Amino acid sequence: MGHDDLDIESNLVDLSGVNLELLPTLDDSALAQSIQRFLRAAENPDEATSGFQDSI
Amino acid sequence: MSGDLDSEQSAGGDSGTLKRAGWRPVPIRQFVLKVYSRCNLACDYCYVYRMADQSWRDRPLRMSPEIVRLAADRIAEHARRHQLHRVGIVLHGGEPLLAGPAFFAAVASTLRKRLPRSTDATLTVQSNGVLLNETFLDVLGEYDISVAVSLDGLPHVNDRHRLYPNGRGSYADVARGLELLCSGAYRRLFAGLLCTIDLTQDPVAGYESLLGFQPPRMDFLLPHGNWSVRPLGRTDDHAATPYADWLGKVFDRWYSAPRQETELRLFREIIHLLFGGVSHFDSVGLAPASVAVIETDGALEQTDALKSAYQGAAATGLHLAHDSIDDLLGHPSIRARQSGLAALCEQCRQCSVRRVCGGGYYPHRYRPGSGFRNPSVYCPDMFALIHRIRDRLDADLRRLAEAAG
Repeated sequence: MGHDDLDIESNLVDLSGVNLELLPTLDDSALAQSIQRFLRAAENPDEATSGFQDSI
Repeated sequence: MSGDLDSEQSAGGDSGTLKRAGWRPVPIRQFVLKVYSRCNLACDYCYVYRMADQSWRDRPLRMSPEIVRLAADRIAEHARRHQLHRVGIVLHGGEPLLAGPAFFAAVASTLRKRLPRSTDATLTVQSNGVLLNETFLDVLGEYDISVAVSLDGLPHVNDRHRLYPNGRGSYADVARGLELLCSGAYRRLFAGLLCTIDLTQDPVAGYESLLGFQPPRMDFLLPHGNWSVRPLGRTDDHAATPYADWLGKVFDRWYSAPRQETELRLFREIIHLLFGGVSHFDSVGLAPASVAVIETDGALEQTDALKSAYQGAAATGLHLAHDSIDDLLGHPSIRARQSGLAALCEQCRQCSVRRVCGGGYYPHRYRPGSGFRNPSVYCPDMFALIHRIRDRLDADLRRLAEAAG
């Protein structure tokens, strides 16, 4: 990991204390869905590219 | 504009140097087909008609069947070459529905027939919504084309900006179209809502007004601007963050709901980036952009919001008739947008939130004389918004971890 990467990592939110068992306590909130999305993405890494802003 | 192009090329970097540094071009996965070059509205902030680039004046009104076939063949060629299992195709304008329902049936049919069986094509139309009726929705449903609509929140705010050429507001007609889209069998076609920010609008009231249509997803867009043409309210005062303050209020309302009422793209992506993920749209993050725009005349261009910067900013000189989609990947600006951190200016490279912000939306970085190798004109707002979201997440996750012991 290069110097740049270390700087970047230090600005991330720490998810290490969170596990799937905690998710039900968050109901169906934006936080719960965001954690689920992140965990799914980690399990199924696809080609990471970004799309067009002016359409949804 | 040669000075701007030179600067842009330096932002993209020499492809040999980039390849030695490990960079490889990334295939295009999203194709924006400009099927109709005129609009039935005259929105005051439109980047196509009201900003620097006026190339729409020289375009054909509607994409011809020949250009549609060429586009389908070029997309198919690209999909086969790169073994793409999925591509997104956005039917865009102008106002695309002005092309008529029969045109949409023909375009969808051509695309689906000519793309490889192994490539799943997701078709979306991005519309102002005023022409949505049962005839259109039946055709869009038959060809599985989902519908995204632009609407700017509360009726009086929307009608301040999104006007017919005679000055009449469009809200009532859009609302009628949306109510139809949200009803019965058509609802599955509803992709979501896009709202351009007006700082004078009460953010929560505007958000809740849009929520009334129960969009599956939505987003708030920063008005296009750059260091030459400043967005309204964005001054030299870096301590002032009016757009972050506005968006922050929407974030608090959206994030605090016990049940997520809609997917809000900008916040969803910032959270994902803060967790260490990769953004899937081109306003935030450092993921390689994989968007190509095909104009009504078959010209291959870059993201057309670049038209807000200067005349010809989105042009590449490439055309479907003699150039492949792969040829677009060698264009300096496409390279810049696929180079991640390497394409950012020094100030952004040193910034603590660069991985999340990604330097901001590319068109918003433009400054005459230095091109796109600048921070976004929204830099103070992006910095403040990302920190606001990070602090909220951090506090909640700490609480969660403590509760779990």
